[in-house]
Amino acid sequence: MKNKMFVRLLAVLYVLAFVAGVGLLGFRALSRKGCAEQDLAVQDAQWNSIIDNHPVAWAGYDAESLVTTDSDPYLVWKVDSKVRGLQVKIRSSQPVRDPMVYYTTTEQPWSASQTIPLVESDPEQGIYTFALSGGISVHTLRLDPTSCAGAFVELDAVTLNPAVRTFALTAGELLLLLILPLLAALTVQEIAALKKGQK
Amino acid sequence: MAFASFLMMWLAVISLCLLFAVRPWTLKKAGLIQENTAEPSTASLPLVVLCGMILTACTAGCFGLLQIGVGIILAAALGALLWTGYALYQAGPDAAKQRMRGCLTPAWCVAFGGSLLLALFLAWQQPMPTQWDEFSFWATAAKVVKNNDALYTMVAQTNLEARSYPAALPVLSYLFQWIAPAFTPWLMYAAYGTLYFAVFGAMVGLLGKENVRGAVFAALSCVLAPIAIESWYPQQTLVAYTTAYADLMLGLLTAGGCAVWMLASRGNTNGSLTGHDYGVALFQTALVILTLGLTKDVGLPLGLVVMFVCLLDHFACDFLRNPKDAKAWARLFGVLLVLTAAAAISYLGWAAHMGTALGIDRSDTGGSAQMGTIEMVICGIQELLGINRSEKFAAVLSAMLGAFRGVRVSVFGNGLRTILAIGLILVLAFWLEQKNKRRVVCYGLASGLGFVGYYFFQLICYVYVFSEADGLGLVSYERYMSTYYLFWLLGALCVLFCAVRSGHRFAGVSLVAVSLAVLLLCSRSVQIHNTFLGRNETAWYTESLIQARADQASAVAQPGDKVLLISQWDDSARWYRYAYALESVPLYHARGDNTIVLPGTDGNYPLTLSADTIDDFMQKNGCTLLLLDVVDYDFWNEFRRLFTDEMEGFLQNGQAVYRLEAADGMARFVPEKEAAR
Repeated sequence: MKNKMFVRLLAVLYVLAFVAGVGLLGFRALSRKGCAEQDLAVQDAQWNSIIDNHPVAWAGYDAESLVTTDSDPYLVWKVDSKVRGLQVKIRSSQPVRDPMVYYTTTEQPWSASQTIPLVESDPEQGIYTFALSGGISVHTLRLDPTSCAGAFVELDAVTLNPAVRTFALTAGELLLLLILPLLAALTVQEIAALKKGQK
Repeated sequence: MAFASFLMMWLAVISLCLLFAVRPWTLKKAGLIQENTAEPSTASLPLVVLCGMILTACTAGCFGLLQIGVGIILAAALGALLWTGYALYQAGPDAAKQRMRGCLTPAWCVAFGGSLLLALFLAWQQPMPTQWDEFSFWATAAKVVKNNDALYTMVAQTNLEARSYPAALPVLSYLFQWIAPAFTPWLMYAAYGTLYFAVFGAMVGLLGKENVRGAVFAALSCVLAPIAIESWYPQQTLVAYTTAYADLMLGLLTAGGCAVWMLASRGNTNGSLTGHDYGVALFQTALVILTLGLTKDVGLPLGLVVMFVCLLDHFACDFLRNPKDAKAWARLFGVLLVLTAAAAISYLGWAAHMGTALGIDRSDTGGSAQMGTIEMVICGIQELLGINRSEKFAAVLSAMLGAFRGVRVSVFGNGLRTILAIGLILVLAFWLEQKNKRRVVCYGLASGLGFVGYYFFQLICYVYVFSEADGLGLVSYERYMSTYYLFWLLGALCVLFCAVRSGHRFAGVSLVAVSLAVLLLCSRSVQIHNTFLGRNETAWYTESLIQARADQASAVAQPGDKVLLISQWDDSARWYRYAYALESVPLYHARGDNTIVLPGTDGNYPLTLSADTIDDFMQKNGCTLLLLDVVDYDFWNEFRRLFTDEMEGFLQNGQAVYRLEAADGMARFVPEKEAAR
């Protein structure tokens, strides 16, 4: 393939990539609906090894804070709905062990393979998030705020399917939009060379 | 200044590479010199020069002359630049043009362009170490070397415990931050990245310097390979390109050794290898093997794998041409002897240094079984054959065999699938190879046997070196195996690139297909925000908090001070982070009991202290400063009366450092204010 044609092809492919990027943004803006946002209140959960009647306030945590009584504290909610994303705002006096989220899809025991990897998306605010494009049908959801005893925990509600308003492309999508046209053009050039039988 | 530091060493590598590419000593006569058509490949120079620099600095460092070693390297680079420039000027524009043409190759673009791009990215991103063993050794060691301008084996006061590890990587990091004002983690990653891309450059060079389009796809698959091998499960945070761990680097260097060999001995696909090419090939490969041995203990078996691959490659490509010739036999044995000697020299050299500097015997693996390396191998073979097989051996053996198919080790899947993927690349290479199909078979044979050997080595490590629980649980199996799978994949790509060069009609398209297949597999199971590209300061939020607290302690610590860290419920992860952050301020560490757990609570590492004994405990262990990290209500309730401020400063204002002083006739903890600077 001649150089001129190659440059033309490359230009066309980059225009296509640009259009695809804009289209992706538009699609994303339109398709934000779907799974409804839902708050799981701390009071509605079933508690294990957690109390909220500690005698004194301490270290900036008020007396109504949750306090863990052994090293396996958790809260369990019955959810029975589809979960595509999750957000927890949590602060603990012992930030040594990260919070964990387990889920079940049917009546079954907790298992290490059914955990949701939380990402600490805003450490200063103590916000952890998780997003999954496909979604999971969750029966029960379990939050281990920490695995320390004697930890003071401040926990707002767990928010299922939080409405995230990010219309920007992710770094990955941008990178692919930048690289793919070049790779595609080179691939076409390679195949064209093959047809002509030239080296 | 930090970036200038990177740039200086980066330019030094280029100058030295230019020297060997332009070869001014052959330019003595003015005017154009008729070159023989087979110009030596310059593709392996970045890798070889980097290895040479590491070895020079390491050797100097072993004699306590690390600074002088770096000085020698820089002086050599400057001299190389001046000499090359002068010789080219003397030779006139035509000869200069001819010589420089050998330098502007895809290989050098990948090696130098790639490393510069990565360094620019890292300088913007400013990553910090985040993984356990970066704090317990790899990053801390690099920091010790930088802060003391000496190998960590020579430094008396440091929190680094494992001082007997070989030093190639910390020294490489040191080279690139020589004029940086303080230890800079991103410079360490940029230094390692330079070595990564030097290996990729050598591999891309196998395509020849005319094939620019192929080089794009070849570079793509090379750059993706560490990510493809490191990705064991979806959603995992991938650290390739921002890790101080040696595991991926070992795989890269092993493949790099093979690439260097194939580059230097490439002449033998057309005709017989000249004596000069043979010597260059041996010398360059030996340098890489020497560096391998100084990277980590497992570099010794990997160095032997490189030797084995080169030996079979030489056997297939050169020896079989004329097996009755005595010279051919001598050359074959030359490969065996020189490359084995290189592996042995770097192993024994570091062993000698360990002996004199630390008084540690390297053959003592210090594991659960207390055996020497050789004893371990002999015992392992015996047990493998069923002689006196212990229960532990049988259990670990069945776990290892199960893990081969049960554990996901890459984007391809489990070990079997990964090997099938590598095998597919080799089959493709066999089909494409026009001149010497034996080379492909020999690589498959050598690397396959090497895998068996490596797997066996890993097995006996789990049996004899690791603790019962760690050994049976095959701790970090994916990470240890990633070394070999990465080498195997990259080595197969090397063979493929050689085959592509031999000029099959479908060669170009096949290369495109392989690269795009790797890209597709990666994009399916790797999310970019989980790779090094997507990380931001939230990833090292904890590290910066810890660094800030440690800085409080460093600011007030005086000679003779020793710090007791209180980090309740810590499993040593935070302790090692503090050891890294404090670096030279002594930190008390009674293995496993650095956590204070009060009676009646369940902790991992109980150190039972009562209110009367915390000060006794500190005095007995020579601790003068108390560093509060994580403290619970019970601790506060029990101990606050010992603090002159009742711990209010810690709870309210982030005061983390207290000094143990006698006040009011009893020991009290006094908040330590930062001395006015």
